[in-house]
Amino acid sequence: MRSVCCSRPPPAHTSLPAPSPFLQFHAPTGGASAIDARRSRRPARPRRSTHPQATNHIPSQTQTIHEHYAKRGGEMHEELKWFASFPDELKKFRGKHIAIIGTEVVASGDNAIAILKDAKKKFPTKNPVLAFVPKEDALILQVI
Amino acid sequence: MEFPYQKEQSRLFGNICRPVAEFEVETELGWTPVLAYIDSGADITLLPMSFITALDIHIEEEDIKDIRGIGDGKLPIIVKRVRMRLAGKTFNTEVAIALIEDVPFLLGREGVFDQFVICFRKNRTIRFEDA
Repeated sequence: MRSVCCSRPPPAHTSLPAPSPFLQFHAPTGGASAIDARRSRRPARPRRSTHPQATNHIPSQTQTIHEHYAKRGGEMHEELKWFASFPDELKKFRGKHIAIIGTEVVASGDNAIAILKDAKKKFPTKNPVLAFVPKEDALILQVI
Repeated sequence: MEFPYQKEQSRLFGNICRPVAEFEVETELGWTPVLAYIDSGADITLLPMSFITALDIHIEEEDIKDIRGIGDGKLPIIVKRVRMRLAGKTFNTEVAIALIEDVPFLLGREGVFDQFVICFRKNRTIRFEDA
């Protein structure tokens, strides 16, 4: 029977929470050594290039996500980029649903579908994007 | 496809980075695009109450369930199957629709995380690849 080993810790770059102890599988005694032997025969992975023009480049802290996607052909929608940048303008909509077109909030309120209808009425040829602006620190564990 | 982190100044921790993604839900208004927080700790995707009318859902009392977040607070929801489009892929999945409007859009695990290999590069990007 094939054994599964999930005992390795997750890589440092992931922000996923630690897996539930109920979901952990452990290789039976002796199984791990065979897996380790196979791992040791694998060729070492080439290191990621840190050159900004390399295809595997991850945006650095100084390079904005906008610049990164602009270089890659802008595959991400403008509304998502703008929402992710959390401009100051968004702060006045805390606790509200908003409809965004481009880099503009075209409708806001307490009812998501009502503001979507409102935005579509104002801009019938556009496709508004819905989002909710959380209250400050609303989505993090509270420090007491 | 890659999605960004939303960077915001927090009074408690300085910069807070929250993973966000765009997905679409098929409603009576057509494909409705939504910007949601990717929540790997949420069992299921969460939509606000107004989607009940947009999805033409008739609620029976026995459909209402309670879910919990952090702490003791309960949130009444109904679970419905919807058609969703995410990272270039269209699929049917169950989502939770809250019976209150004051909730953020959350992209949870059920029916979504098994469709993709998702790599969180902390505070940089989240990559969704076909599973």
